[in-house]
Amino acid sequence: MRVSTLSHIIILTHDVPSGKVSGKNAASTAGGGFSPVDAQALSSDTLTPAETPTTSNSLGLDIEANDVGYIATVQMGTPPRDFKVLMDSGSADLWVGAEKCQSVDGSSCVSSSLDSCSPPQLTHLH
Amino acid sequence: MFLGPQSSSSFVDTQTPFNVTYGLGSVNGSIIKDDLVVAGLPLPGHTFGVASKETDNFVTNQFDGIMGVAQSSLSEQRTLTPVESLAEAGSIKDAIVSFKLSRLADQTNDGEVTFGGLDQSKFDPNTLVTLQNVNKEGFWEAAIDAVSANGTNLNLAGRTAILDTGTTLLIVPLADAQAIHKAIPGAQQDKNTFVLPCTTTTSLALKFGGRDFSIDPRDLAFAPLDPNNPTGTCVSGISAGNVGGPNEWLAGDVFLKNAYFSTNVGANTIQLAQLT
Repeated sequence: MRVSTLSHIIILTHDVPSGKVSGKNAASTAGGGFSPVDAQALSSDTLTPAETPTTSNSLGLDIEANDVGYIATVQMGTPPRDFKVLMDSGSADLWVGAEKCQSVDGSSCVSSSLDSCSPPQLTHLH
Repeated sequence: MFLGPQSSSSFVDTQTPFNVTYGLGSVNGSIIKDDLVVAGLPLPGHTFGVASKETDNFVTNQFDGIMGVAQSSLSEQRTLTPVESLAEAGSIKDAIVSFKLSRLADQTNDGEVTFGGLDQSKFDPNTLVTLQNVNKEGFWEAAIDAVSANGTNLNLAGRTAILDTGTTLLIVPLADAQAIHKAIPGAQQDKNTFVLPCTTTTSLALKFGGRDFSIDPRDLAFAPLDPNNPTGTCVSGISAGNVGGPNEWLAGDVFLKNAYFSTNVGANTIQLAQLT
């Protein structure tokens, strides 16, 4: 059964305890096992910034953790400010957190249980 | 980072609610208009959303939101994506968006998204294939000609794959996941997930447009069960799930790191090429 947009499975294994990370930041090779740089990024949920793009009309894609997601920086509002957005070819909506999302408890956007929401038109359910 | 009238003088709330449900959570919010700049290209008064309620998995410091670039027929907000808007505004010639997803372990950090075309420096033009989008709802979906492991055909015919940068793993129907993992020495099944040796050297290839795109074996070893044992047993980057039809796959980053990936709304086509 398909949900109204795509079933994304962004897996962040937050429960993984920090492992020992030894060795230099050398590129790994196939057959060598899980690389130290991946291990570090996974345990710390690191965002690894991209190099400057090599062509026009382009944005670098920062790497979330061990290749869990890919994030670009765009500007919104006046004055323009940087917002980081997960680039998603499997959905078609753009959103960022609302200001009032922040003010409810003074910290970052509150989590909620799944709201019962009635979108105006369900077009994608099978 | 949050967006609203206090931080932006050009912010306009249309007061229309929206809700997007993803596989692992959902967001509720309001449809708004504000100035957007993407890769230096302006979209003044662009229509998009701000979320006032998000489920747990979106409460993160790694990103502030999501930019969907599938076709806008899929949009819950019922509005054009930035790619389509840029094309409509004439800022880019065609509603094309292209991706190079970088593998952290390669230490090149050269991931890139390009609006309006392809970055020729990222792929071998001799290997470019153009595929018809077989999805009718606005996802990007292509027919898989064949699936092989270390060159041996696994005889999984008639499969299609939704190509989704916003999904981490490669998700396939259970029977296919079992067939694939049978071809990976040391792999074992645990309900809908699989494990395999972190040191696997098996290369799985998906053939699109007559060309094989091989998945680097490192991408099959998604994460170790024991972080202190990186050469032990790893969670497989391929897991079982029902995406839609019985032959429908969801090819996320595990596959897409292994190809240059481009989509064209106007032509309704997908292009893949070997990365250089």
